[in-house]
Amino acid sequence: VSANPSGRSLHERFESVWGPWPGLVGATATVNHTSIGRRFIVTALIFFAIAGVMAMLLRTQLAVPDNDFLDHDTYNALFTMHGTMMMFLFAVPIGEGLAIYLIPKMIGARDQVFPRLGAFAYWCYLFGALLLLSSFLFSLAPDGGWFMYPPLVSAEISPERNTDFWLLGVTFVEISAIATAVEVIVTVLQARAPGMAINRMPLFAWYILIMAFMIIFGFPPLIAGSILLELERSFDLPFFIAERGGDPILWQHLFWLFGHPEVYIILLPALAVISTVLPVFSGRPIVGYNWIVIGILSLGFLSFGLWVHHMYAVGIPHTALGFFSAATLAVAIPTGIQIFAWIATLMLGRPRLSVPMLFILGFFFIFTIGGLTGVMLGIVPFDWQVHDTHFVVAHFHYVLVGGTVFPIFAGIYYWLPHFSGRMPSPTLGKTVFWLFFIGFNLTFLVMHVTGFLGMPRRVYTYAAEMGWHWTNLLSTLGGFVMTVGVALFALDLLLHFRHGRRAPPNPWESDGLEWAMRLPPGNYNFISQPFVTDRNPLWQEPDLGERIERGDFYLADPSAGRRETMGTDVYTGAPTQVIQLAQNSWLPLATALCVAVFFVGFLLREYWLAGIGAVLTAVAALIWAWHNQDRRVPDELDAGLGLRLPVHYASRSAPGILGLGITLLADATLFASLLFGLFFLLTVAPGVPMELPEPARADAGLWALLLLPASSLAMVWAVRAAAAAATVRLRLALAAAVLLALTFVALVWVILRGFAPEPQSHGYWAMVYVLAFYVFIHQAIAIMAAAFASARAAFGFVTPRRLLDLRAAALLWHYTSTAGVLAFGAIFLAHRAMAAVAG
Amino acid sequence: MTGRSRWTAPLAAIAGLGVWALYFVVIYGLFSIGCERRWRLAEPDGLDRLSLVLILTAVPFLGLLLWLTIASLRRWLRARVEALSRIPGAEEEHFIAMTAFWLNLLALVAALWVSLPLLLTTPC
Repeated sequence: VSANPSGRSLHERFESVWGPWPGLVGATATVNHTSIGRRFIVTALIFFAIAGVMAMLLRTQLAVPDNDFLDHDTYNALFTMHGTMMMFLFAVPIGEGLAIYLIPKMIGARDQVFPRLGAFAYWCYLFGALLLLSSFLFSLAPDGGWFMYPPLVSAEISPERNTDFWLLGVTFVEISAIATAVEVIVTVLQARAPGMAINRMPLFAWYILIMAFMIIFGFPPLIAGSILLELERSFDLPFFIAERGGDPILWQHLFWLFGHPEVYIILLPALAVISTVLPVFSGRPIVGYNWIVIGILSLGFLSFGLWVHHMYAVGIPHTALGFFSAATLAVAIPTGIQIFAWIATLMLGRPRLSVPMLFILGFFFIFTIGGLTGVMLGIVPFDWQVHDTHFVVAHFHYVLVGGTVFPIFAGIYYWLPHFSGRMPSPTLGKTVFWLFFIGFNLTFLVMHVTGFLGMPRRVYTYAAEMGWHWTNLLSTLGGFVMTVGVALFALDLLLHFRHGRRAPPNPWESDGLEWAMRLPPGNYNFISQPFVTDRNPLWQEPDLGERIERGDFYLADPSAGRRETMGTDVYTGAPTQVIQLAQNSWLPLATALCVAVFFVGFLLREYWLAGIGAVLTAVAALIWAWHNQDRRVPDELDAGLGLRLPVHYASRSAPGILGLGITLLADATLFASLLFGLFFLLTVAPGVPMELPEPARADAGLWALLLLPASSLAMVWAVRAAAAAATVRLRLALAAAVLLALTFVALVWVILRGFAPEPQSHGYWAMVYVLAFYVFIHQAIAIMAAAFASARAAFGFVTPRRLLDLRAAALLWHYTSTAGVLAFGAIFLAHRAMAAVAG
Repeated sequence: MTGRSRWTAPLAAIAGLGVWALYFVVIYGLFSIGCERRWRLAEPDGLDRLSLVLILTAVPFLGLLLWLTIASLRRWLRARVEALSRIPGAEEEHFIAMTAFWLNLLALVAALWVSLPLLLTTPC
């Protein structure tokens, strides 16, 4: 490692720029992806252990007939929280944690492009999880099942706060997932090492990219549903109350629009582990790289067409059942493509049996069984026979544990040397595997039979004469064997970090860039960012790590004291910009705390407190945005090797614009879910008559919509003025845009109040008001962004070359205008159509 | 990769699956509304009105998917030739074009597959 004249090595100099602040308090300001990724993984494993203990309590209760170890209320709370924690607090976050930790290292970047967003995501995850778990302290643990079906969880039947803990806690955690997804997408698309063209991306990055997009489109329907259910419980807005024009089936649609893609969101990081680890231990590149990319892309789309297969038994017409049954069976094909590619890789390579490979072989066995029972359940008549029995419980544990936990364990053992710089113990690892594998199969293989014998899910006990006791006892025994395996895994990890043998460089002879660095890695990842010319860079150039450490490549000079990483072209990987990354900051923690105040205020039904939380969050966001740019950094920087590149503030393809665009995609999905709700309640919900006011006043609203495109034009004018350094014109244009937007809000509110009955009167009208508020809140945020951009221009942050603030404000503005036209257009036109039909 | 193809190539890659998703939503939505609003008028010897609406809706979607598949096949064959010339960016374009063809074909097959119930069952 070369040194500078002060005698400090490059490593020490980079660490002084990239390192964490000292002490525990300093650690809360860390934004570096290595630390944040580790925190995600460790926290998720702790929740895995807690949810596992809950499962053991459930199994103990079911071990013998007529058991009174748990009463039915505790049993309900435990199975609800077991499922909720495993899905939201373990399975999704551990995939995110692996992604956050590994993606920058695998694609040759120094960090994620929005490090503060990563830290914010972690705090939201932690606080949301703690909010959810704190329900036990008040004996108010959610008990309506992990899918929270109304009317069981309606205010009338479940008036206590159990359901609110779930709705608010899970939504808080989902904010974390969306923040992570945005960050991962932009990092993969814009911060790959130079030369890493789209067809040279590691498969792991492909899987994570698609998982992240699935989060962007999959999570907002549940957020929409949770908002509606919380509003129903808090303000008596009858979205899901059939007697007042709502429909509980609407919740099921929104939940499963999220719920089925969720299975693949969980699965994809696990499959990513397999596609990374299996070729390494087969000693050859993966067979069918292109086919796997095609497979996972199609999986990402097709998995959104399956949600109704969770609703076969609610009375949906049989042709619709046919659609969803067909789509369910079709999704087996892209999964099959991957399995054949892995088998071919094993056949053509020289496989080495190691602990990670044992877990992968375990995955093959278990996931295949889970997949086959999934195809059985995809066939409607069979599903009706075993619906809500333990057969279904056995099936989804085969899919989720086989498909996720086994590969994740493989991944943890594989990357342990990376986390700790030490090698895992093969003896302990193999013992963990066999205990877990045998225990799992004993528990869940037998449970299929329990289901065939007719035992329903979610019953806390059963009579001896039902004949279910032997299979239940075996399942419980298997559960405890599995638990011993997990306990040994925890012990193995503890011993490993203290006593593990020191790992040599690239200990598994891997091909990926993440092994081209010291173990454990420095906070900066790479002393110099390499030029990548192959999909398996370390196999092609085994001494790449040494060259990187010597500073042979890009951005090898830390003397400016800035955190920088290369920005590259999405397709070719050609260098395009130097991205400036955030330093350590308490802003992510502070912002997450402000969001927590909002959620706690809602939970306590102290809406003034929620209001304070919302205002504080907005203030924190503005401070965050204000610290986004360093005016001292020149417009063009030396990237090394004779290459000069624009700083990202002055680049047309700045990551912030793409990041905002992806965030707005998630927002648009939330909006689409609300629109879906509007049309659902208008068309197919039970036909409860509603008040139909005079249509003429609604027609006037259609004219008011013209104000929104006009305000967007004013924003386009503002961006042009800033590009021409015309300050007065810029201010005039921004003022015109704001004025037009405010006029729109005032007009449509008066018109809406003029014809729409109270929102409590009917589910449809409640949805109309929710859509209106969605638009108004966005208008407020867009106006705030425009004012912010104006202030930034006044302070010299906006120049003809640096238009980032203004372009971001304009993008948000255009989105808001479009949403406003669509929402109010739908409201006014639907009203007109209804009036026409009625009269 | 040229300025134009920077945008059109990746869009072409996911266009088929996007159309498939839209097709799925439209068919399911129409079908649900039709059943709820009793569009279905029993015709003893032929198709009922709802089935006819659904099949007529399916045709343009399936046609569009077929067109996308053929267009992406042509693009792939062109990109294959260009990839041999070692022009910068041609290799990536070939990768995207090939992916686009297979994804569009898959979307077409998936659309045909989920359309089968329209022909094989009576609605509602």
